[in-house]
Amino acid sequence: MKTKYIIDRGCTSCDECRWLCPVKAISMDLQGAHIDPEKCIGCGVCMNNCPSEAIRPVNPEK
Amino acid sequence: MSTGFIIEPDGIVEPSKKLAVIGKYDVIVAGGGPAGFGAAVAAARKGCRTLLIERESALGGLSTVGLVPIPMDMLCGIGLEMIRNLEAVNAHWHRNSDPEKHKLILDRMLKESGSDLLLTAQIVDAIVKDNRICGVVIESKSGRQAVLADRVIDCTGDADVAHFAGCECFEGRPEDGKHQACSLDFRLGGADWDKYLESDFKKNDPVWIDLIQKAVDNGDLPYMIENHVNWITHVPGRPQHCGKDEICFCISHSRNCDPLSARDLTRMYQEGREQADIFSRFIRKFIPGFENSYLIDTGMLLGVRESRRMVGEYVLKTLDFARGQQFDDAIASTSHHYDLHNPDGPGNIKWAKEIINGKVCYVSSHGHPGSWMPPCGAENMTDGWGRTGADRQFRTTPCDIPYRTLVPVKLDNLLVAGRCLSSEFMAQAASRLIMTCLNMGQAAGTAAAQSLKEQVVPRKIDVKALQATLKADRA
Repeated sequence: MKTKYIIDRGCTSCDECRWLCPVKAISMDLQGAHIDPEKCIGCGVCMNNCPSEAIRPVNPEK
Repeated sequence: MSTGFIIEPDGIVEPSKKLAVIGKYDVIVAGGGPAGFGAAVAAARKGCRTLLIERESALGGLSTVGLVPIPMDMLCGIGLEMIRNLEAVNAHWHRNSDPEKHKLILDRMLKESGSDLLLTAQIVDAIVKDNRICGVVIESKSGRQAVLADRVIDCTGDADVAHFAGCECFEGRPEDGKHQACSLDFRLGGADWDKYLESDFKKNDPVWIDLIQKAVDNGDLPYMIENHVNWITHVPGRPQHCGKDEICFCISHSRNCDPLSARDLTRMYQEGREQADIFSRFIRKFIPGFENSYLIDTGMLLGVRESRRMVGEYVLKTLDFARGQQFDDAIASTSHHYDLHNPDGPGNIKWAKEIINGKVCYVSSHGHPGSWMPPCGAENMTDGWGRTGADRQFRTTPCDIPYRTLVPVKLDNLLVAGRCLSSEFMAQAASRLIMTCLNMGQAAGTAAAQSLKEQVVPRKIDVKALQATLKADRA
C-alpha cells in the first residue's frame, strides 16, 4: 500500500498546497484544506510545501 | 562644512552643490529585497553592468532582516535556485527558511552573477533628464553621491524612485488613504516544536482564534492586538527533537499609521517591540511546547505590506485576481488570494467589495473569508463574476502579472518590481508575497537587459521575446 497524506495538524488555510498538488486532490472549505485519499498519489509535494507543518504521511496497514 | 544655508520663515534653503558620480552602470537596481535581488541577478546574468543599492546591511529585505522567513508562492527561475541553495546548507524546509543563512546565500548568488552591490546606502532622489531616468542620488556614510545608469529598476517596495522621479503613484486605500496594518515580526528560541505540532491545541485552534479571544476577555492579553496568529515558521537547521527549536511569529500589528512617515515608522517599531514582549510572555504561558521559550529578537525591518504603488501602463485590477485573469504580456503569476491586513482593526480580509453589474458583491477567489467576515456571510461571497450559490466558480488558474504593471505611464527607462507594482489596493494585497516579488524582479531585470540590447525604451521591448527568455531561464 502506498503512503498517503492527511491534513490533521492545524491547517491555516494559506492555500499553498492546493495549487501544487499534481492530481488536484486538495480542496478548501471554511475549516481549511482537505486531501481526497482516493485521488492522493502519495507524492508528498503538499507536505513539503506546507508552511505550517499541518500535513503528515499516513502509512496504511500492509 | 555646512555653510551657506539660508534661513527663511517657511524653511531652509540648502546651498546647491556638485555631487560626485561614483559610477556609471547599465542597470541600477534600487532596493535589495526579494524583488531587487531577482532583478539584479537577472540583469547581471544577461551581461549588464549592474549595481544593486540597499539601505540595510544585508540583502533579502523582509525575508531576512525583517524575520519573514516564509518564501511563499510560485517557485521558479532564480527563486527556485535560491531555494535549492538554501536547502544545500540546511536553511530551508517546507517553505520556512533560516533568515541568517539566507543573507549569506543571497550575498553569494549576487556576487556570482557579477552584480555590484552597495549596502547601507539610502536612495534619496532620482536624476531625470528629458523624461528619462538616468541615475539616482544616494546618501550613506560616504555622504551624498550620484550613480548613473541607462536603466533603473525600482524595487524599493515604497516606489521611492518612481516617486522621486515624478511618476504618479497610489497611496493606500482609495476611499481614505489608509494602509494595511504593519507587523514587526519576532523570533523565539527554546521551543519544543514536536510537542506543539502534536498538541490538540494546534489541531483544534490552528491560528489561535479562540485562545486569543478568551485571553482578551479575561485580561491575559491587555488588548486585541490581532485576532489570530498570521503565520508561524519553524527555522530549519537547529538541533531537533530536544526542545531547542527556533520559531518566527507574525502576529504583532500596528494600524492607522503611514509607512512613508518617519514619525509613524518610529511609533510602529516601538509598538512592535512592546507587542513582541506581550506575546512572548503570553506564548510562554499558554502555548503547549513553548513553556521554556524565550524572545531572541524582533525584526530589524518593519513588515510594511503596502505603502505606495506606481501607476503603470496597466493597473492590476482587484477582479483580475478573483478571475485568475490571463494576459498576453504575462511575466509572472501568483496563486495567492486577497490578503489584506485590516487597516482599521484586528484580522485579515480575504474578500473584496466590488460593484459587479451594478450590484455590491463581496468577492472571493477561494471561498475563505479570512478572519474578518464580510457583511453577507461567507456563504454569500461571490466569485469574480458576481455569482453565488451553485453557479459560483472560484478560479482554477493563478492570476497573471502583466509586464505593463512594471512600466510607468510616462517616464522612460524606469521599471518597477515587487510590492509597489501598478495595482489596485486589493490586487496589491494579493501580489506581495516573497516569491511573487522575486519573480517580478527577475522579469524586470531581464526586461531591462533586453531593452538595452534592443536599444529601445522598456515600454517598447518585444514582450514575446521577453516571455521566451523568461520561459527558458525558468525551465
